[in-house]
Amino acid sequence: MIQAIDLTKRYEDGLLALDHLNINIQPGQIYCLLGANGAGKTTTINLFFNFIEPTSGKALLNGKDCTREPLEAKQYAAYVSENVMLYGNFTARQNLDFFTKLAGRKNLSKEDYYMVMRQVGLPERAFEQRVKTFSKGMRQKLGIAIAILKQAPALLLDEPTSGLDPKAGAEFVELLLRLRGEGKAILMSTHDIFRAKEIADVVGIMKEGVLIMEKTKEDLKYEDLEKLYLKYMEVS
Amino acid sequence: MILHIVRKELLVNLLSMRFLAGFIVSALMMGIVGYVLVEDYAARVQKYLADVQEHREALAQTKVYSTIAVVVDIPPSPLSVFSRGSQDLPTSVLVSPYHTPSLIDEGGGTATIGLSGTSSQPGNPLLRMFSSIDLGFVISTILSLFAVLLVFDSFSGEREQGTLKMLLSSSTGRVHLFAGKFLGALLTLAIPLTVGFLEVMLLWALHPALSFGGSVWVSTGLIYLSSLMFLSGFLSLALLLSLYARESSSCLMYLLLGWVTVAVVIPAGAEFIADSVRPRGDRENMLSESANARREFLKVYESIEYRQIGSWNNVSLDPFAGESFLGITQEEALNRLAYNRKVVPMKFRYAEERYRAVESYAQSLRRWGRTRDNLMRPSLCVVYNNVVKAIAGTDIDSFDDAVQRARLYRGAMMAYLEPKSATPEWFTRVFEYPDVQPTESNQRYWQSLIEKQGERAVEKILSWDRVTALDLASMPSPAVGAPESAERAAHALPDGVILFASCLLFIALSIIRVLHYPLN
Amino acid sequence: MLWTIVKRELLDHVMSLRFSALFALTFLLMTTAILDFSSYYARERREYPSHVEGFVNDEGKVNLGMIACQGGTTVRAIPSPLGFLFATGERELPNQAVMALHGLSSLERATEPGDIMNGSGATDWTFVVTVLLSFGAGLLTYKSISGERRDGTLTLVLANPVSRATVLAGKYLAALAALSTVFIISLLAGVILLEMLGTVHPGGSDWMKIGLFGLLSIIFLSVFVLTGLLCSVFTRGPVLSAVAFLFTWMALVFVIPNLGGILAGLTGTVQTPLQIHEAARTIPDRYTLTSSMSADQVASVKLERESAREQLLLEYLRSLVHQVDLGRDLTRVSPASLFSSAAERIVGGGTFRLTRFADNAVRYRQGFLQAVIEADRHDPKSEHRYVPWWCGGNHFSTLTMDPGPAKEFRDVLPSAGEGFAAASWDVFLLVLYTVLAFAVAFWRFARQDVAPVPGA
Repeated sequence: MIQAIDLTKRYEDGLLALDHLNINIQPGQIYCLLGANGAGKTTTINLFFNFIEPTSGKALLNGKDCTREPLEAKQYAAYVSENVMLYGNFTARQNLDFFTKLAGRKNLSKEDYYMVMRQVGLPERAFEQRVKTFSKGMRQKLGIAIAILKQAPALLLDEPTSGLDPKAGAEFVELLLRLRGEGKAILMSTHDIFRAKEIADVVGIMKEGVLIMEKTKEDLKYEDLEKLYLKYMEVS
Repeated sequence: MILHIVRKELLVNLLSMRFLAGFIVSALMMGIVGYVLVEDYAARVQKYLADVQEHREALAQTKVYSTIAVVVDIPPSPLSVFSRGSQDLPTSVLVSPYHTPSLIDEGGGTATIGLSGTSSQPGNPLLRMFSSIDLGFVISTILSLFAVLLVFDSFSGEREQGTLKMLLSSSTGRVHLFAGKFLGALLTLAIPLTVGFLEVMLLWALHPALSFGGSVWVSTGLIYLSSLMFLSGFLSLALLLSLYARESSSCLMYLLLGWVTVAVVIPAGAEFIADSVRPRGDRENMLSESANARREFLKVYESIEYRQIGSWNNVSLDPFAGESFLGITQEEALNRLAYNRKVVPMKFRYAEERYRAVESYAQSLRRWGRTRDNLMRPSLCVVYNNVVKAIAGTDIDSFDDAVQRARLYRGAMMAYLEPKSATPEWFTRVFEYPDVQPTESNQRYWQSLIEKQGERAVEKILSWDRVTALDLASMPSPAVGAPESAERAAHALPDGVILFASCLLFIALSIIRVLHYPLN
Repeated sequence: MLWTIVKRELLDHVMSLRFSALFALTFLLMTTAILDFSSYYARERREYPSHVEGFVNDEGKVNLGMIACQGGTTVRAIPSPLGFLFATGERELPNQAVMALHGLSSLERATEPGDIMNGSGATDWTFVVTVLLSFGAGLLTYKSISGERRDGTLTLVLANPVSRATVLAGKYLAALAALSTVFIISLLAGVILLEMLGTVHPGGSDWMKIGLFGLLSIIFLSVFVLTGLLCSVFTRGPVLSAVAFLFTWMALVFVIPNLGGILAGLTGTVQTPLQIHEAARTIPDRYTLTSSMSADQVASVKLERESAREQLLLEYLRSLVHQVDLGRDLTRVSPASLFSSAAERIVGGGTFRLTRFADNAVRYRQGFLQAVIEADRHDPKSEHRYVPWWCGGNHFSTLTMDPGPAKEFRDVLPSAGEGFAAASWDVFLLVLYTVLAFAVAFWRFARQDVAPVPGA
């Protein structure tokens, strides 16, 4: 569902952010990308949405090339960024309404929106409040609600749990597991090794644009991910 | 400490793209505008000198006292480079026994396109449709925008970057920080301003036809100072807003909206509001009053019987101007004198009456103008333009002063002329030119001349050209010339005080705000 | 999809403070312009056409013999009922023509006592559109891309199957719609106010002109909306966009159009009033009278002299207008100059109108002269010889007759169609600017990395 083939990105200033990345994520699979700041995790996700163009290689969503057919490809994926920013002057529902319509879904009622917002754990009083009064956690939840409503088979999450309080983090993990149960392919970049170990079907570690390790849940059963991570960081 | 901050701010400003772009735009504009206006001034000086020469010659050719008319030319102000003033202002004032000058006399031929060669402007009259642009305009629009650009993000920007906390975590006081930023920006702005003034002075120095006395330089210095004051007012206003804005880019846009209001909307609305708050006097009323005065005068004038006893020749008579008799007999001249004793004082009085009718309207216009100006004073740009106009002497008050001086001069002139009106020289020079009197012998001689040489020969004899001109050396001459620079500065004082006070006010408000400025 | 974006943007604009401020200012200025204009128009209208006297006596009749030798008349230009749209020149340029029956002698500005108190000129709608609304266009758009990019909402939008062109077009349409709303509501309010005041009675052609002016304004504003978008697309953050827009706006709205007058003064020389005076004095040398000429020949030479003087005057006028136009041509790089010159033509003001007035005055004079000569033919006592500045004798009729419709001076303003035809080049350029600006903005936006560079 989410597939990168020799995906490479070199920025205009010469920085090689991504070097021949190959990943393939199946439906019902959660893939966690680990790595230090600047390892290329966000660049990877940006490439899938054509926010930036790859220098070479391909990013595919459901087999569609994200660079050549960005509009078709983007239908199959929803996006949650590290710091979800929404239109501050609009209420939660108005934001939801706008983005859902952009995603191509029409004829949703107010109740549908409320239901999803309840589902992601937003308090009732926030439904018709302006987003600029929201805390980061609430914005993040709203971002996930937008992603859910898009009903896309793939989810790309860019450090979605950073800055969330522990309770919100736990709720978020539950939500992700439920989405996996619905058969979605999920790519999530994160710094959080413990959470990655908890939920990931596959874990990848990136360093300076290169995917230097990829291990499945089964592989990790017998290994300490934290030690592995630190080891890979030291090497070379 | 302050010096340290000032130096840093100055450096930051000077190295920014905005400075470069703003500097180029303003230096270019000031250079072009300066060049054009200096040339324009030179052309107007030439016209002025030619006019003075022409009017002096015309006066020197006057043959009898009753036709004396002095045209007082108003010299163009060299400082018009800074403020061009209204192009509708007449360039001369007419003073004669039958005409008391007033503020709203018919101005000579504005925007006239004709073949007669009379136009108050030397250039293309259609260019009046463009707004008159001068250095004051460049400073009050472009440099004030530049001021806004320099400081709109000086606090909010540093807060966004997070450098503000760093700065204040050192031992810098907030007031020091403000002072540093303010002075740094002011010094930065002073660069294009100084360059602009230097450009003008260079143009003055290089122009072959122009040379100035010290008072021009003093006035230029005053204008420079008030420009600095204006810019610091704008700077502190912009700083103040920057201290209230949540985000620097919206701060800039609100500043600009404010700027548009101050520079554009207020002046546009003022005239209309002034019309409804304090209407201009009734123009129709003024016209009918002066028409009445004229009718009254004519009625009395025509009722005074004139019984001619002698003969005359080559006469010009006009109840509203002088009279001249080229050939008039002695007895008729005495008769005319007796008649004039009644009539001439009446003519003089009529001039005063007409003046009063016009003046009361002019007075209402002045009041209206003052109301309008006051309505515009909330705009810093207008206050500044008032100061520059007053110092440059191109405002309506300066013209009004010139008219008043001309009116005072008329008093002196009348003191000289009134005794003359009781002498025959008032209307004739018969006694030194007897061969044009229509005596029998003369007429016989003319008849023979016509037969021999044609009518032209007699016309020549009967022409005023052969009469020597009056010796007017003892007549008081008008105090021409622009008002003293000290006098002009006094005109500018009220607006200067407003400028200074608002500048101080903005600075004070900013300092209060800076002390309570939230850092998050 | 496009509609979703437009709706959101519109809602965002309408809820913002800047929109309300812009609305209030525009409304205020446009209605003030109406109030100011209507009092000015009422004054001017009283003077027209009362000045079409002089040739005829109180009974509307003309003394054929006296008309050749007795001065002439002054005709007044009809004040434009649309001066509130475009006022430039309306209160500065000559508005009356002084003429003798055999030639126009000058064009003048009828001055009123108290004119010298007038300030910087009137505020017209052209000014509101060029200065205030063009700025408003930037106000609504300057951070629409750069701001969303900084806030991160742009990525959230583009994570959906919408093309960048759609996003850009949505923002463009929404800003233009918001501006047009402000403009049209103020325009309608102004027009209603005008009707209520009742001093001005616009005719059918005038409504057409107002409509064309509105259309033109929207095209102009679209250029500035795109300028704001361009600034937003080409810069990294909203602060830079604001600065970029400010400089662009300052240059396009203040610097370049104001250079027009200066450039006009520098380019192409026109003759000074004195030189023209000298040229007029040499005319008799070109049309000489000799003692051997018959009376008819003398009369025709004298008429030729007068017509040469009129030609000289009209040529002088043309050269003046040409100089002004030349200066303005140089400022055509700025859409603000394009707009005001197009508005001048559509409304029928400025030099366009002045030239037309001079033509109308000449046509009136010629028609009157024809009527007089025609009337003279029916007088058997006359020698049918019209000699300028010559009274008495029986070379021309001395009858008193009514010249009929020829005595009526009708100053006709250019029609809406004519104005639009004259302005078509400007309109074309404005449309071209719009298309170009959109193309550049799109080209840039399509290639832009919308996500912030990591670590930057």
